[in-house]
Amino acid sequence: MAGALHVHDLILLRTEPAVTFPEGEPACAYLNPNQRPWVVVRRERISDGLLPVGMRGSERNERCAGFTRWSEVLETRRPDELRLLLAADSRRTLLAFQTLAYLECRLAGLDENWGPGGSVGFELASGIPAVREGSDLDLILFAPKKLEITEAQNLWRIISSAPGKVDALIETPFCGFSLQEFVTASPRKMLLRTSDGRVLGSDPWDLSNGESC
Amino acid sequence: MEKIEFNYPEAKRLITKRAHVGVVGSGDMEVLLEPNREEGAQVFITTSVNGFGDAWKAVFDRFFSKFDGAVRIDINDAGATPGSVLLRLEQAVEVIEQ
Repeated sequence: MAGALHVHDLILLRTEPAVTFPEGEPACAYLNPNQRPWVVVRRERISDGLLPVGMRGSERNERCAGFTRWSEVLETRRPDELRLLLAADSRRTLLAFQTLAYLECRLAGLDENWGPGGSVGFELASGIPAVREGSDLDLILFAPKKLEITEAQNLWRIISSAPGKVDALIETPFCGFSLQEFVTASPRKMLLRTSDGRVLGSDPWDLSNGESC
Repeated sequence: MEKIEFNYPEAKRLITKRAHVGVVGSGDMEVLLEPNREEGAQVFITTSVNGFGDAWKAVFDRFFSKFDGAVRIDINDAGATPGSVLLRLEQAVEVIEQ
């Protein structure tokens, strides 16, 4: 991701029509048209200065992929910033928020940057209720340097002891992958999410060895 | 939540190994592939995203146009893209054909 924005960052746009959709794809409505237009940066290459963004539709699981221009970006929030905005009041009783609060204590000493994505991240950024009773916590952990397997196993042990289900994604400078798969599949191949698409590979910190397909 | 089933009676080659790949996480899925006790191949999908029966059918028609193993495939899907579904299936086949 060029500039200061990265996949999973949430951005507030100046106006809703700032999102354009690929030709032939239907445009989608926001969760609530009266709310401010928060969108998430998608994992895709930037072309012609267009930022790939994802929007949440009005229906459950409805997601739309579109593009916006840098000039439309009003505010941005990274996952590690969102973590510090833990939901207040009655929303805190939702399992996904409790899980985040639990991990906030347990992962305090972690060197890597981390924070929530998915519905939890979206709700913390926008204030628009998106988390449901059965929502998982999507957790993003940034690992610019190689995470040793023992370190990953310790991390997974802590994360899987949380009160709710956590979907933990590790982001390297090259791709994203599942922490659960890393600790269970190693050294076998796993699914690597790159900005050019998904591939099977065994080293998420080095995609140059040509064995990733 | 939706449950989908497909049958591919022409897939008759004997399979002896089993494979378990993938994870139930956003945009991904878990696949269990094992020898089928019934004749032919059977696919059982549980998905969190409703209304994509035709897309699943297209993926499996394509998969079984190349693969002829008499397998039972159980899928636990959390919104995997068609491309990821094929990657996960290829990965499972790689494990059982080793």
